[in-house]
Amino acid sequence: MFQMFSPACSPSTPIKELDDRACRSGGSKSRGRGRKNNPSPPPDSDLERVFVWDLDETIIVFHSLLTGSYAQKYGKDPPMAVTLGLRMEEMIFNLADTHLFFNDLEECDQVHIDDVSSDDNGQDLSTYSFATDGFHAAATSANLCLATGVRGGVDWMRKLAFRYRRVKEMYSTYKNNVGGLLGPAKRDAWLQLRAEIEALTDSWLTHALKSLSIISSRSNCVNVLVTTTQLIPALAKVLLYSLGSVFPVENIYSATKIGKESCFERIMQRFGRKVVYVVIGDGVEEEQAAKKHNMPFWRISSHSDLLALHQALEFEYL
Amino acid sequence: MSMLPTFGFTQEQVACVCEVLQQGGNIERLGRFLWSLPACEHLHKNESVLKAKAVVAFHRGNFRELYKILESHQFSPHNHPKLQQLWLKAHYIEAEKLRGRPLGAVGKYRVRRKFPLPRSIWDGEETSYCFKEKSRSVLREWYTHNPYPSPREKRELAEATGLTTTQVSNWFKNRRQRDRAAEAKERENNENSNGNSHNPLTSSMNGNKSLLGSSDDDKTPSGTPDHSSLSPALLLGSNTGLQSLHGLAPPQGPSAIPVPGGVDSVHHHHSMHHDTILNPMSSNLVDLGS
Repeated sequence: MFQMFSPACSPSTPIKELDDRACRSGGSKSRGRGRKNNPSPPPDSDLERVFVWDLDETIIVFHSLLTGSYAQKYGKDPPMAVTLGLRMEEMIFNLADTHLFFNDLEECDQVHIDDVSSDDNGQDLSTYSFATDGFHAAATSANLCLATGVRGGVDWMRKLAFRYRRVKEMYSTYKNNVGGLLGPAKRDAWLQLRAEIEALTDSWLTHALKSLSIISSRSNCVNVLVTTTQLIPALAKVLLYSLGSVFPVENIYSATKIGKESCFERIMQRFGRKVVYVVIGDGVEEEQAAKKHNMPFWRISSHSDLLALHQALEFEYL
Repeated sequence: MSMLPTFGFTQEQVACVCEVLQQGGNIERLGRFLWSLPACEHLHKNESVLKAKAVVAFHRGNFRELYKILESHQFSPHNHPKLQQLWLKAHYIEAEKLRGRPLGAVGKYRVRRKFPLPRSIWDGEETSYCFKEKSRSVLREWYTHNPYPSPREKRELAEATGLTTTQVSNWFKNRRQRDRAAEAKERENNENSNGNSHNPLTSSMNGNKSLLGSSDDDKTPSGTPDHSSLSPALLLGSNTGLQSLHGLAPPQGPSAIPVPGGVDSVHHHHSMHHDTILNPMSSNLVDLGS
């Protein structure tokens, strides 16, 4: 404990003192912040960049269709925009309810797909009947959404974990084949809707996807998604907007419960301090969270920002 | 690589790229990026761009250019630490080249004296302290009124100074201990001067009494770092430094430096303590003083 002669306090260079001061006065070392159950694989040793994306109005245009603000900003037909938004909204929640247990999980939303996996017992689910396992009935009675072990709740927690496991499987299976999940009839309607949205938004998603694809193809870069949408609907959105191939399900975080700043912290804990984090978004919340953690921020407020991002990636500036 | 027909990046985006490449340590790429920027004056006055240029200049050993950049523009405080490091490191390297061998602590000190930090990257505050002068003066002011703030008062002080309550508590605790030590020293010196053996260690401690003592404000000149400013870093800069020193005292007996009473009886042990614990440190002090 003779700290006087530790490197931080040695009477040598002010550089060390400056470094030391920067560490101490801010108390910014986040040591031993209770790590949540996040059984993600350890960071790759050659990982250099983590791109943290916002979803709405950055990659996809959805909410601003419904509110009419997109139409207003870009001189599009407002009722048309709203209609498209409503059709997409219906598809999103339809998918979430039908295939992703949204009815069951709406009140028990998680930040990350693996957050309840510790309650899983790993049993085979191929013949498991989700419809009749009594989860829904139990959930509607009393306060069983507490994550902390409530007596008699262990059974319920396990069923919850089964659902998230199934969702994870569904995502991974269908992320490149949403049509297969939707079935032929809905698939055609979906393709049609997508085409119409692309036309109205002047290929916004297409441009975003260019950047996402470059990042995805690099072995030293990853895409991470942090959205204020709840996790299950967020997964539905990602699938329906064909983003499943650029976002592994473990890289998707919902900030609904804990806010973006906390999500950023979890991401930093996961990938470590040696990588460079680049935050891409349109809103104040992610910008401030980025600033707080000294992460460079790329603002998306129009098509040109998406184009510039693509250019920067193509020229390997980012 | 063909040039873009029209330059596609906003200032904000340029700054973002500069930051990403710097954080990633991709200085070569950063240099190429900067070279590709159009010759727009406004863009080249952007702080992120200038910071990037400074980093590239340092990386390339182009120190004249580096100094020019660092002195030419008033940088915002949050960039000061990094840019100060560049300035100092570059000067150390140049000095080492002249010397022909690595610089020691004294050599570096002399370099810092010869090439003081430009105000464009330094707010003029004494760099050897952990807390800002503003915070320290608030604490000092408070201490003169009441050296024992209540928990609530500590919280208020923490807010007023931008420190944590732990830091405030530690500051007060250390300050009280040092005042006591200074007082004890004072008494001991009065006895010493009344005849008996002249303890060289004691006198050198006397000479630096102000450093051991509570006064972290006097004896340090503003502006250029002085030798006495290095030792405060040793003694006063750290919250725990001196405390841990005191922490070693108990095993040996009644007390080492913090002696509320009974100094006379343990006078002999007292100086022995100094010998064993403080000697290495005081020899450093003596060196720097020469």
